[in-house]
Amino acid sequence: MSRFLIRRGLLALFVVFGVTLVTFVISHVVPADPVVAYLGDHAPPSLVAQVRAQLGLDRPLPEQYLIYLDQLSHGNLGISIMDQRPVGAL
Amino acid sequence: MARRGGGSRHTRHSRTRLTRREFLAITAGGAAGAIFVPLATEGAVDAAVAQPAAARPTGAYGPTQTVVVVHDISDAVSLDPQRAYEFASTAADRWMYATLVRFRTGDLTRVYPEVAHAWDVSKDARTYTFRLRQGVKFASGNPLTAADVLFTFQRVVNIPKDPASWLITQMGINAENVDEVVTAPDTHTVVVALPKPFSPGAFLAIMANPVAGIVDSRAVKAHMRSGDLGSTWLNDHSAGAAPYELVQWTRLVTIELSANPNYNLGPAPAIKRIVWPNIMESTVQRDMLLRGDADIAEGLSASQLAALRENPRISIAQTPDLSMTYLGMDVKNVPAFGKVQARQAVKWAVDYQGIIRDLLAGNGIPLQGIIPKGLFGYDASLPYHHDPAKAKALLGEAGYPNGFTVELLTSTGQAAGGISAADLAAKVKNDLAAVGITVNVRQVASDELYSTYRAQKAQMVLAQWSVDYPDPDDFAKPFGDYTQKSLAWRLQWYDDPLAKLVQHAGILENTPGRAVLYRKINQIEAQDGPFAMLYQPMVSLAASKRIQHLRFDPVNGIDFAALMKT
Repeated sequence: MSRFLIRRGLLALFVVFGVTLVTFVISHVVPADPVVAYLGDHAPPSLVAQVRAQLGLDRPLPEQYLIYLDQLSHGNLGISIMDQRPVGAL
Repeated sequence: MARRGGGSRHTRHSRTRLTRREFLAITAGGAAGAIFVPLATEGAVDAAVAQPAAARPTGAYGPTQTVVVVHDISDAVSLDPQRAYEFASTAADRWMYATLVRFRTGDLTRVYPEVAHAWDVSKDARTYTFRLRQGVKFASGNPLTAADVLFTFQRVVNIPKDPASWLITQMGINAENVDEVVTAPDTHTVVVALPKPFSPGAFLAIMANPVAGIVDSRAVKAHMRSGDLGSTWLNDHSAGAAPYELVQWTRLVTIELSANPNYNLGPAPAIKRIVWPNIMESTVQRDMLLRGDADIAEGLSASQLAALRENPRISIAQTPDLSMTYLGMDVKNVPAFGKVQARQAVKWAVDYQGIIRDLLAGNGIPLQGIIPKGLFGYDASLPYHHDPAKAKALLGEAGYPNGFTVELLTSTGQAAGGISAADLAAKVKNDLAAVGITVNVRQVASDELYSTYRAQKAQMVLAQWSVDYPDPDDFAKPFGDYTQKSLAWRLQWYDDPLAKLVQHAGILENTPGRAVLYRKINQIEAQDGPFAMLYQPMVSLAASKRIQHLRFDPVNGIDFAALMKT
């Protein structure tokens, strides 16, 4: 029985890992740039670059993924850029 | 910036449903005695005033003191005036935050005193000295002094991820230099010494924008949380000196203001309470207006407006928006558009009258220059009309006698003037097909459209541009000066002499000499430019006849201070 639980537990870990990876990849392959979506049509490229850096979206993808996992493990889902509220509260 | 009407600039993402929490809030609101007012789509709004417990003072205001404006307010991201950059948020902030100067409704050619009773501009147009009125009070009762103006500037350049900040930072003001650039020699004088030349008209126009809305520094400083400069608190509270203050903002549900009891910049308005319920469907907006649940509808379609003209209980008010709908042609990604004759062929191929008459049903007016009607530098001439034969001849001259194929990117949403972008794209496709240009329309979400366009990866776009601040430079720069990396740059059209001309016109005051420069700029754009201007949309409001003195313009929006209701 305990072996079964351990096996299922380990399996669940893999599933959770896989789900986070899939979610992360999906959010990066959609054609719309989230920074442009947030700032709209008029913002000059300098502001786009500044906000991209403030959001950490200018860093390499693996690094962004690790940050995401780290924050997630602390229960931090981040702040919605569309309405500035913590995602966990939505 | 706070332009309203059919444009989609700020409608960055359409939300089709409420979050679970908001749904619960609406359904359980009354029962729980919470402050939520269930305004969603039905039920008399006036009746909803009588809500329990929360004991807001607004309950005291009767139907004739309350105005309900139905609109899609789902675009609002923040009500903090220094970061508000959407229709709904700027429209509300304009009535909660006083500015140094302001435009009077209907006159966008010059600014008038508001918090500043006078100002001097130095000879080199880089140093502005504002003298503040004595005795101005914030809604809190705190006095408004130069320290509040300084704090307001500091907020704009220091709030992280601020979509509105570029309005100020483009003038060379930033977090590093703000303390030297904006100073206060005494409690009622503010000096702004710009580090680089910038159009004086544009500078003053930006000072009238909500981004420069003066916040009560004492109130805001008391509510700052780690590095947010009070931004979070300003979503649920206001701290300004304008005629109204915030009662509540429930995201995706309602924004509600009530009269500021300490307002002393002008006479107290007759309307004591303004409510903007979030009504995204134009049919629901119309039904609420007809039932008397709403006083003014802002988002009706061109055909709904046409139908309401017959209704004796409704009046329609219109004014040209400071925006335009255009076709953009990328001069590198499409070899044919590299030829000026092919770009001109497109301009001759479009049936402008058909678009305005049949699609817009009058909810738009002709515009072929790059500066809309209502601004200095507007050019009323219409060099192009529907002439397919001429278009074909020009295509031959360009070396494309049999036409060519191009992909047209357009949004899945609305085009300005209350028509669907798909219908407009279909009309363009037909007009261009008649001269041999095959258009493949690709409809995408506007986020994707702008991402592609901004990356210089589009072939042809159907898009809108609208005012941020009412100065011709706000249009000439994006359309003409590619070094701004805006519209001309996105279409890879790099015209150095034109860019220089635009920069030069930008820093002049509204003199006849400046008008000559804009005439020249308009001519170059019409001849050579990669933009086929299609029309200038109208801002149209449908209002109950109970509403009197309905005055509005595309920058100030509705003048609530002048409004009366019977």
